[in-house]
Amino acid sequence: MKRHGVKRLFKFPFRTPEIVRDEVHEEFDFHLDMRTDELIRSGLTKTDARAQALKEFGNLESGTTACVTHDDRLERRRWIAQTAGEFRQDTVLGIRLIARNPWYAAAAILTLAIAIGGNTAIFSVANALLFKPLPVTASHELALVRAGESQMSWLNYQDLAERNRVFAAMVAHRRVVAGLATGAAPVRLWGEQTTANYFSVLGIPAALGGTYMPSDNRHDVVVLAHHVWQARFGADPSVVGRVLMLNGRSYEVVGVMPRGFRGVAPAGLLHDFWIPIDDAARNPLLGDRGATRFEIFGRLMAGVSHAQAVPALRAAGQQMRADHPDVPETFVQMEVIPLDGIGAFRGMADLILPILGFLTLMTVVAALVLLIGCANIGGLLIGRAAARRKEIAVRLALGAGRGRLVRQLLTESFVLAMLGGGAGVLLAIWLTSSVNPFLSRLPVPMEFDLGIDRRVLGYALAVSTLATFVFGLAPARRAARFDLISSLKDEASGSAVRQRLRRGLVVGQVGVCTVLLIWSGLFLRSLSHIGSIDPGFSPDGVVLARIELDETTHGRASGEALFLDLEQQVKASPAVQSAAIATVVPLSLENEEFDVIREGEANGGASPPRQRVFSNRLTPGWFETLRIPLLAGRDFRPDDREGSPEVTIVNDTLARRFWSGDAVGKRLRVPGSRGDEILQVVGVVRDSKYWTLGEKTAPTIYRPFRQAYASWMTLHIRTRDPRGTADLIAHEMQRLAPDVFIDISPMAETISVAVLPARIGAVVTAAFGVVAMLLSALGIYGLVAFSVAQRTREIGLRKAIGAGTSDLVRLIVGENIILALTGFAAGMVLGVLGANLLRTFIAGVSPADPITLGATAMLVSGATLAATALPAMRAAVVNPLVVLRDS
Amino acid sequence: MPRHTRTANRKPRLHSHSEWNIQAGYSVEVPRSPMSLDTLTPLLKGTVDLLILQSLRQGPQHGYEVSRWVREGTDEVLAVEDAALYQALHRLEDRGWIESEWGLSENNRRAKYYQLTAVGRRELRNEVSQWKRYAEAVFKAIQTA
Repeated sequence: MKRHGVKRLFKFPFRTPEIVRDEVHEEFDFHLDMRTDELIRSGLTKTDARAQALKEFGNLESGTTACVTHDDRLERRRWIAQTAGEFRQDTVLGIRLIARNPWYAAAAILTLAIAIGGNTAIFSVANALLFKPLPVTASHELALVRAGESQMSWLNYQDLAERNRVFAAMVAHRRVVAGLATGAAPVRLWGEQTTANYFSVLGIPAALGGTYMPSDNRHDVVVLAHHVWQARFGADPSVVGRVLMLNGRSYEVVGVMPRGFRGVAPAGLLHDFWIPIDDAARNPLLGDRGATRFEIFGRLMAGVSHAQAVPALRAAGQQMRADHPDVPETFVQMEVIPLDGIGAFRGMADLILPILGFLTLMTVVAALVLLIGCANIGGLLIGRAAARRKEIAVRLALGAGRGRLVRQLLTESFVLAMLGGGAGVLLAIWLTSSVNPFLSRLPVPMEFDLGIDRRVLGYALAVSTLATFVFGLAPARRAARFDLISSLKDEASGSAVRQRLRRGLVVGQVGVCTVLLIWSGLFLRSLSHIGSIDPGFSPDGVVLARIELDETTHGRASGEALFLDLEQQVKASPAVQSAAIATVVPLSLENEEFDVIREGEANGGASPPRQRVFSNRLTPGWFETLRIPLLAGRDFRPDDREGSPEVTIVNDTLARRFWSGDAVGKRLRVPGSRGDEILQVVGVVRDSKYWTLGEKTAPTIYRPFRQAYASWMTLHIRTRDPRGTADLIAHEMQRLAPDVFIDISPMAETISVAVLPARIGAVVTAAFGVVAMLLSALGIYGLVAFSVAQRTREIGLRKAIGAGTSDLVRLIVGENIILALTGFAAGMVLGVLGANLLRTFIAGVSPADPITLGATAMLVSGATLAATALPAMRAAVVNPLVVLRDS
Repeated sequence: MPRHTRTANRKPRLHSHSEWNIQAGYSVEVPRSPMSLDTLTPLLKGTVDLLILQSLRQGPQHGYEVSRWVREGTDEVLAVEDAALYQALHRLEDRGWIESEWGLSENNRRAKYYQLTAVGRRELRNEVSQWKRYAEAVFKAIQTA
């Protein structure tokens, strides 16, 4: 007898729940009738027998239900087994088909690999930025705590940590830049100073040695990051116990963190080292409730959500204000921000929004390229379906249902898509592997964790599956729909529907290709344009020398003395034309910004205008060094110092906005956490770029460095002898402060970093544009070749009648030109409309830039011409005799 | 003291106390009426399954034949409600130990026939040997008590 599980030879229709129930009833009825008959035979009456039989049976209802349940489950399992079996069959068939037609398969797989690979690479970046959780224990329980500004003072942090009931632990940390003393010049490292519970809250143990803990009481220990251990210490396992000099103080290395650990830094940024926060005796700043230096995060208690923590913290903030009146009122509006995902970028909105926008653009572009690829493959499949007519006819005749046939064809497409997707993932790995080596050239330690994880693979799988349906479904359904009669007739030019589809594909591919080429062109144009934007100052010939002091080793007095001393020594050198200090280097991604209020004049009762401005703090001579002309008033003087009247210089934009240009003598109010300051305008300068080359100039104010001290500054030096000046600076620093790290670089380098995003954008979009063009050309070539192949008889006839090669070429190309023109027109409109949304990326270039449109038109027409003419020319060499004989 | 008697004939004899009854799992009570779905303990469910499989060893049978065999083969001691029996049959089919097919009964009516699968045959052998060991062990323990 048949074994259970053997494939049945005949197709049993699967039992619906109704059939299942009917069968169970029939089975029970049979049993009851048999028993009744038996009882009747043994002497009972009909009614008694029936009653007895029913009684013996037991609960009919629950018995039926139980049996139906079992049978339904059985049917479901059978259905699954059969479908799985069919799927396996189809997959094997698909693989065999691919093996028999390696060229067509290779073309499809290559197209898919490029398209899916591009999509996956982009998603890897988005994954690393947004979706990958922080590499710490239970990152979803962590949260940033902010009270208005991003930083808090030490005393406020301690109060908050004690009073709150929602965080199991809170950690304070702050960025520290330190010079590591090596044999040669000191090396700059970017690290953090943290509370002792930092590592235990994050829950990650050291990879080598140990970390510092709350129970330790040492303040002279340091934990190194993995990449620093490898790069600077050659991965030497005996580094634990070594004593390092950071900013002139000695620290003992107690451990090295595992690879990839970056504390709570947002994706992409790294820390080089961690040291504990000093005790209050060493660092007087810790006793100042107004010195907001620390960023705070914490681990929520079990079961407390981020939203639940907010009211509790706000209540604690109110209590703190009641006890200490100098706690700022922003403490009542505390925020609790999750550290995973986009939350880590809070406070960096200016930086992250353009990146996100660009990622979105790239996703759209990659999706469009995938669309072109799918159109190509769809066209390919339609062509092949025509060639497989006989095979399909036979299958239908043998009894395959149309649904089954569609499933079969779709599975073939699925196999192609999986192979293409797999190759695409490999391509994506290769593409993303070049990102981190590129990032290591930047001055700030950056690294993205672009490893392929489950999410990326899932995305690739989803895209491959989607692609299967996009390119495979329509051809499969069309192939299964034709009737047997027409397949036996040898149709010459194909059905009208197929023609429409082909024409639609040509128009679509040309259109999408046009859109992508327009966007790439605009990016390239903006890149070249950026090179010619006037930044408003002159960076050539300027050398930058940047110092960041550790406030615990250099307070205000000694820091100011050091900076001014250095400036003086440098200015004394004969090769130096001018030099001055500034806290912000233009176009370097640094910034200071805050609100100012126009002060003084009557305003008719309305509140005075308030304006967000950029700010910089300078010593006299900075404008001259950068060749920014003074438009009115004066530059700062040496006697604009602490104690003298507070002054400011504004740029033209702010002068016009607040005072219609006549700003000298007017006043500004600057709100601050320690009280408002009133500044008097003493000069107006011409506008210059501050943040990016593409920005619309923003209002900017400048203040004297000696009135607004900062522990970091960059000396801008205009010199005829950069080399000599650099040596002089190094020499002076050795004398004045040998343990302080100074970073010397030409200003032109900063500008090139500012241009970097535009360059990256242009390269990536251009790459996609080129791929799109190639794929479209290939696709159109395939479609035209296919249609020409369908018309060999017609072409043979024409040749026999006397048409020349050029006539035939003109005929075929002429038909397709109209399609291409339609596609191009549609693409132009869509491309320009889309480019309107890209204005922020293509600063300075109009979305309808004529040069771009012209170049695109030339490229598209050239490619289309080649793609249509080639098959036409091949067709023209058809021997008419051969063709006519065939029919 | 209960005597172990065995009746030679296979006439249906319900509700007999004087025979040695198989102790049903953990209860000491002898079931007084045919056991329903709810009162079947796991041990007893397994026993019913075993009997069904054994009944089908002779060849394909429909549900009524199986029920009759179980009743007669255990001298009416194991009187299981037919509903429970059919549930057992369907459960065994779900598990893959038996398979079913609609056929014609001896009186030309449509009936659902069950037969053992290869897996079922193997399981039957295992279950029988396990049962024998269990029964012998218990019997031995009781004897010496």
